Amino acid sequence: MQSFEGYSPQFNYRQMLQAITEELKLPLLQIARKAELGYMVGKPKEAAEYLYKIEQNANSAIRLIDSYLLGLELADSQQSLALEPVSLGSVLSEAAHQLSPSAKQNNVELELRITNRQPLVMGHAGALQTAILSLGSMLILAQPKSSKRSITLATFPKTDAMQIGIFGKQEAVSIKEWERSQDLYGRSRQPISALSPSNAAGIFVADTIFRAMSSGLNPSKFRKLYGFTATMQLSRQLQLI
Amino acid sequence: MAQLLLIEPDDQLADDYTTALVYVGHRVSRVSGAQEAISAADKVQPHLVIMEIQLANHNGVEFLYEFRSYPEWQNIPVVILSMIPPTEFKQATSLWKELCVYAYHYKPRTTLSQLIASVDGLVSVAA
Repeated sequence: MQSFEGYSPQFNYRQMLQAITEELKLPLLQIARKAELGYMVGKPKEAAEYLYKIEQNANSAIRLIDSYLLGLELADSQQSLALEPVSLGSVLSEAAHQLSPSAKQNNVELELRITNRQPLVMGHAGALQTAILSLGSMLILAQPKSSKRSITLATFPKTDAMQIGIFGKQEAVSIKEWERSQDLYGRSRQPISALSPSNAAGIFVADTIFRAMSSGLNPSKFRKLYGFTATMQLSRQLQLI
Repeated sequence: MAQLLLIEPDDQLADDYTTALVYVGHRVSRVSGAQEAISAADKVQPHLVIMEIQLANHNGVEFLYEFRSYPEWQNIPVVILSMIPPTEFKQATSLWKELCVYAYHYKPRTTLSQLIASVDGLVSVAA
């Protein structure tokens, strides 16, 4: 490779990728807003329906980019994530609110199961929400078309910890698939071979985010639903009070 | 309905925000930079300012300090609509309070409907 003054052979491809990804948000945002404007002021009903779908898809892509960028930031510097006491119930409620347009568009019912006992956990509200949105968007799109479709966002109290989980009817999200996927880190866009790449691209990102909060993502089963959980440590400071 | 000043550097987004806000009945004066914004504010006397914090050749926060230095503009509600997530600002709460920023919206997560709802709410409170 030609070398010249001012050029660093240690060129950081990761930074370049990060910058490009950041830049990608603008055209996607332009598409989303243009589509929204189209169905807001446009008259033909059929066109409005298509525009609404375009907007939702562009919004999903922006969410994925945000999650990816956060994942990169967390992977680069553990110290940049200041953990603080967080209510998982509030995080899930806000995530459900943000996922509801996409769920509605895809005829997926959203269910929130938040336990009455809600001790605070050590986490980062923004990062948690980004990870849940990333997984939620993926599961909404991955639900089988044939049956009644639903997504469940839930919390489960454990001894000295709380679990946060997101579940759907997609059996492809299995423990076996997940274990196999660990070998694909850095070599594949997404770990679940039975899902379309675009649907599941958020799983690695969500896992990276949860790992930065000392808890990786685990495939789990809840009743007859399949999904992921992450275990969050309780806020000890508040436990002492 | 209110006179709004929109400071948005991206032409396409500025078109969409303007069209949507005009569609629901507001009057919108639109500029792309800080210097033009001062002239436009002087000319149209806005009831509310919607602005991106990332501006060409200018820092949006600096612009806000300058804008607030004029006595007649000290109480005009300002809504930030930015590509920068609010979490990137250290001590954001006190900064926005000092600059009388009434709302901060992260552009990628704010739909036109949400922006309109926010503007309508602030305009009705300010009226």
